[in-house]
Amino acid sequence: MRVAIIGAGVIGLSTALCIHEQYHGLVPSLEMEVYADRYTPHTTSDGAAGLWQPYLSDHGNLQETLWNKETFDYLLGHLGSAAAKEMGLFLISGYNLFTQPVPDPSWKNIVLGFRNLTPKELELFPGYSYGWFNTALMLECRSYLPWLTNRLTQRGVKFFHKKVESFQEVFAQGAEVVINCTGMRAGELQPDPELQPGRGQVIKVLAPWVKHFIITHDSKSDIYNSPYIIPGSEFTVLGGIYQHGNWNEENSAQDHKTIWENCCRLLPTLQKAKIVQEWSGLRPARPCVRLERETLRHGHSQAEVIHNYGHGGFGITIHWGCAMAAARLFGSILQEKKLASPPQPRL
Amino acid sequence: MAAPKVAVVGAGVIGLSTALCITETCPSCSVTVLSDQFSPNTTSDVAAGMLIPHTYPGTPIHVQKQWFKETFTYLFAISNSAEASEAGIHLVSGWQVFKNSPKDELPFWSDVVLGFRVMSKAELQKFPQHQFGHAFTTLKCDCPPYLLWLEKRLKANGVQIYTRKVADLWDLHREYDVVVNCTGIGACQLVGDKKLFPVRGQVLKVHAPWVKNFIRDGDGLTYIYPGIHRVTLGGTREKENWSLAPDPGTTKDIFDRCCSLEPSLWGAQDIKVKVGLRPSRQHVRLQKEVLNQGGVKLPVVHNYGHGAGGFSVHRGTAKEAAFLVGECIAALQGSSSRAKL
Repeated sequence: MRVAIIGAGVIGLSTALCIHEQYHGLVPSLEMEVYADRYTPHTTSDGAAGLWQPYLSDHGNLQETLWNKETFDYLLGHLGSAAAKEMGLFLISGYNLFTQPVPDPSWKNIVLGFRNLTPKELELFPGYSYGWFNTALMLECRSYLPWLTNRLTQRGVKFFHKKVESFQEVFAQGAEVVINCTGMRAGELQPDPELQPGRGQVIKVLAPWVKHFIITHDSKSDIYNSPYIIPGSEFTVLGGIYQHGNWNEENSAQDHKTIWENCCRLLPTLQKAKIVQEWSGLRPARPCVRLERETLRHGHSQAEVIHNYGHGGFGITIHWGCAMAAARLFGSILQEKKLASPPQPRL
Repeated sequence: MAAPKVAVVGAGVIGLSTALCITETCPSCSVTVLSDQFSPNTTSDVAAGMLIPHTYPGTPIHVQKQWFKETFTYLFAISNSAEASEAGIHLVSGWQVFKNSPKDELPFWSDVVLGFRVMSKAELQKFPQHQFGHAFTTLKCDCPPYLLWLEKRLKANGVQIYTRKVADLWDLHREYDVVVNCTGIGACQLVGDKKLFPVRGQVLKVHAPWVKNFIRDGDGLTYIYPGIHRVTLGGTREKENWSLAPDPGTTKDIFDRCCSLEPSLWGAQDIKVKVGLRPSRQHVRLQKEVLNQGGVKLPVVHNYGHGAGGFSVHRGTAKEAAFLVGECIAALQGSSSRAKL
């Protein structure tokens, strides 16, 4: 049975691995291929700092909160393993800052050690009167995506550097199931007016003395349109741009100025930091993640698509929960095709 | 009396911070720092520079707390300024974990550091061999940057700094009016202090930039302290061991103990081994003494014996030493005006 994954960002590669891990043993004929026109380090995922943190409010998307938790717990379980460093996975503590009191987030019990900031801590951040401290995880895609690629290659999954123009094209080559992890450009395969770019820009600097993430929030603007500082294993990412509807992937001088001035005001010591890189990308924003099956006609037969896109600015945060959900959808497809029965409990 | 001439002997964190305090409290003083060793070759350079106090059995707790609070407040202001990276001062959060619950649940300094609280069950899961823990945020002084920054401040304040081995404090009596003894473990030989003894510490300084939190075993022997460029892994506490040579067996033991607290350290690169002798004493010797030979007097202020807690209390003890220097100068000025009568 041939399965094609379109897209090689964090969603595509993790979904591929999750499905292969769960079903290769049950379906010996499983052949999996990944198609993408961009691979690490040129995917949207590669531009992200890699901090595990959902948006402040889940807007009632309880399923997404569960997927976020699944991802955190899965990553936490890998922390003590030898693979952690290679995966780009590590613990990090830090601050969320507000100009007024806000309700606790849905993820307060998912992260470690969540608490409010003390008055003395708030002295560090003039202009902010309320905040949270917690320990979360970093998952750097410039390490994680190669790690996923290695695991997949070891399992015999094949990779193709190719821009897929239509689902039909992939069906015509013999794929029975297509997993659509195309992120921002899903609309090119199937129009989706709900999918819109949330343009972001970041400046990567050398500031190894910064050990905490600092994320500010402005009640008057959207998430990520307020300065943030996220230290990685090598570079520190400065950001704070979220432009809904802006498709421009070029760096903007105005945005650079905004990020730099705001972040230096937040952390004056950054003025001494050396700028190493600038990057812009498009968060694949959607009111909710599209994670569902679709049956498409292909000639005289039917073929299955599992959509898994629209993760906005929280793709890394939610990726494993979505991969597991996509794998469950895959399992139901297999059941219908009577290719595999669900794992039976041992008697 | 012309501008009083003060010599500070020693250029570790105690010597340099004491010299700086003296220039602040006595701007008319001419201050000189004399030392045979400077950064990166001082005991301070080996230390991680974490602001987590050591408890001195011979000093009242409220005094130690005052020293720590002054030091923390001073460094907190620097960490919040544009100079933080140059000074090597940065905030770091982490955990102190205990295999057995400590008898004192709250250390005396818990309200000085930031956000101090008991660790949650979920946090303790990362440390299966430990039953109890504290989580908090504190400051770290990275050396050499901090010592180099102090030297820069001193020079801006007109302080002269000379490489010189002082074999006897009395040798300075002709050139200086007051001598401040910040020689750390060197005081054993310099002033023959039998109450001062080395506690040897071996550490590894490794490249592991993904380690962002500190972890410390409450027994004080095993710790992981992330600095600007390197993570300090420790350590040992070997009383009366004077050897400055790294011991390979100890290196392996430290590495194993730290990896069991933080498994990702197995991937650490470029391991450098360092040894320092903590200048240990029941209490810091922070007092005046007047040396007297043939009627000629030399006031001395001692400020040494900070053991494992030098960074944590350095500014507090430096200020007290500067105050004592002020007293010495006042006494000299008083006696010189009496001599005029």
